[in-house]
Amino acid sequence: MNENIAQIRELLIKGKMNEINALVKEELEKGTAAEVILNDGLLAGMDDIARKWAEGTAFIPEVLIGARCMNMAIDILEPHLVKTEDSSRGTVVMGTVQGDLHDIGKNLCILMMKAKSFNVIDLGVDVSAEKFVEAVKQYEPMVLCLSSLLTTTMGNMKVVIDALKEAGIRGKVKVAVGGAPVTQDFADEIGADLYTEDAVQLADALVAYCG
Amino acid sequence: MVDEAETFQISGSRDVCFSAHGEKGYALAADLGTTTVVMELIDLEKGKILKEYTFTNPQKSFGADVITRVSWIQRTGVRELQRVLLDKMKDIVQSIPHPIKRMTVCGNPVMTHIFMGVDPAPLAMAPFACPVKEYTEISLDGFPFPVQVLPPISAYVGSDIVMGIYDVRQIQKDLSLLLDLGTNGEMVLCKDGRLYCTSAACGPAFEGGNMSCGQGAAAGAIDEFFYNDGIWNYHTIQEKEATGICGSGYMSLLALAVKHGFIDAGGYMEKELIFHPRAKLSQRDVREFQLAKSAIAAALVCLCRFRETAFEEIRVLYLAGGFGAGVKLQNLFDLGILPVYLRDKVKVIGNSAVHGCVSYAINQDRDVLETIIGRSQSLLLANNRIFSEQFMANMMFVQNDGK
Ligand code: B12
Repeated sequence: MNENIAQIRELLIKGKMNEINALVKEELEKGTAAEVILNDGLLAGMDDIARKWAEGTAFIPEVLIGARCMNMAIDILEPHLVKTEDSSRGTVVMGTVQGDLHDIGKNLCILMMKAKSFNVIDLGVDVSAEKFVEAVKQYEPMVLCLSSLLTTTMGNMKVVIDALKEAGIRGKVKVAVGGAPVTQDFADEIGADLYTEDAVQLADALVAYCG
Repeated sequence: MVDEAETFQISGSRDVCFSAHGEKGYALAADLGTTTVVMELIDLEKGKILKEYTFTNPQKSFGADVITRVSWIQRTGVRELQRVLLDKMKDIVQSIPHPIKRMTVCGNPVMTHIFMGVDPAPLAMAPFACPVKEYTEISLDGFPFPVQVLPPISAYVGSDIVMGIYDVRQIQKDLSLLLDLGTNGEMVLCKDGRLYCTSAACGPAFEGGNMSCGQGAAAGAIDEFFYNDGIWNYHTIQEKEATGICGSGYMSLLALAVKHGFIDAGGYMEKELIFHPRAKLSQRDVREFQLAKSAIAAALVCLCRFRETAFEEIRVLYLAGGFGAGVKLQNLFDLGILPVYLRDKVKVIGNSAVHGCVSYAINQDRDVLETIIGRSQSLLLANNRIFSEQFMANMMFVQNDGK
């Protein structure tokens, strides 16, 4: 493999944004395909971080720092990426529930799912049950992901699940829930299909689910 | 019943004189903290605190942080949490041999709403409505005098901060910052006579909460670490056998561990540090601390950028809270919590909320209070792009230069 790309992969976990950006630009100028830089450099690097995170040798700050570098580099790559619609594993809709504005964890989940080639639609924060239902109707995702960081808004996850039932579409979509205060017990209690503790496990679980 | 030995402290360090204006009689001032409640018995004529009562907020059994308490209230109503607090305060009131003329109360918005028996749920979630925004005088069963509940600035900046500003009126004259480093990390930027406030929910890590060996600043808590010639040492409060590490202990430990390479700039640790069976530093602790410190650093950057103010321009940084006093300031700069440019500009002001509240109980100058509220504006960080950016950038243990 190209040395620069190997280096991009390594630099990601160290969070060296400027160096990464410079290498990405250098590779683009050399004529390397943006997809190769993305897949073998950035996404591979993110995967390394995710693995270390799962092993307990890397933690949220590294992941966040890595994510930040990756997002910056993707901005540079974006105009060069050829859109291939159907290479995705499936569609996921994700949002933070009503009343809650925390989105750092949600964005990390989205990043990890995108890194595993899911097509993710981000509804943002403070999303009402109606909006979730509408989005499920519109995008017909395989999975709906709900995030909540506040014990006061966790209950709104159940409100969303009830609204899906009400609209008669609960059976059409798998519901995943998560966020710091959420537990497996809580997920079972409100009738969600999936709970994981972190973003890597979520992406892995979805890969297992969607194949 | 009130347990004298455990909960009452006779005011010793508090022989500060407040400006009084000849009114005779006695009043009470109370600061309703999430963790600790402080009540002061005041001699109005002398402008002096006669006695200070400090006790653990009995609502603690319903949850350590405000949000957990609010979720409890969502299920069972506000009455019980209101009652446990009022019962405790009533006991104190009944033990006072003097007739009380009034009681002035401040606290974070959730605490003051529960105190009044108003459902605090809207405060804790978007769109952050504040049910009671006004100065409110109420009468409460068992309190044979009017009770004044001071107004908050917004759903997330409470009257404790208003009293902090009221106490340090100087803040309004200079380009300055006021920072209260508690669980909520409230801060105020004063520029051109306007007060811009926000709060960064950093969690209780600075108070030892959520840390593997964390504890409050009580006897036996390690409050400072030392590292000389390759050897670690520590000091415990009252020189007792170590029982855990308190906030200032963690500050000095992390600062030293970063300085001497036990923790790298990204927060990575080769191996756990063990000082005593009840005093360790794990990788998880370091990460928890990074989240908290980054929230504060990021919020400071946001607040200043909001008014296009460079850290270099700030004249004074007022550091409030019980916490501020016990910590070596240098550590706060080394760890990148406080902006490096403010190194020589810090003024530690202690518990300015209590101080302000006592002073208001004596002086009753509503106009000053209303002026402060009128000049204040609060900034929501949750939908602020710069915050998320800065939150990630400030995870690192490097100086906070606001870039
Ligand atoms: C950053 C932060 C903020 C920022 C948010 C910025 C933003 N754009 O997100 C600001 C300062 C704005 C903020 C505001 C508030 N916050 Co806040 N905040 C935090 C803090 C410090 C870190 C949270 C974070 O980003 N963690 C990092 C991410 C990566 O982790 P994560 O979110 O847990 O996500 C991971 C997993 O949970 C999982 N996951 C997440 N979502 C999903 C979804 C699915 C489907 C799955 C499977 C998994 C999954 O994957 C992620 C990656 O592994 C925490 C304290 C702490 N130490 O955690 C408090 C904290 C969450 N906040 C808290 C509070 C109280 C508030 C406020 C109410 C404070 C106030 N009075 O103003 C407001 C509320 C705003 C609102 N309505 O949302 C409390 C909540 C307490 C409780 N019992 O619920 C905490 C715990 C702090 C505390 N102890 O007091 N906060």
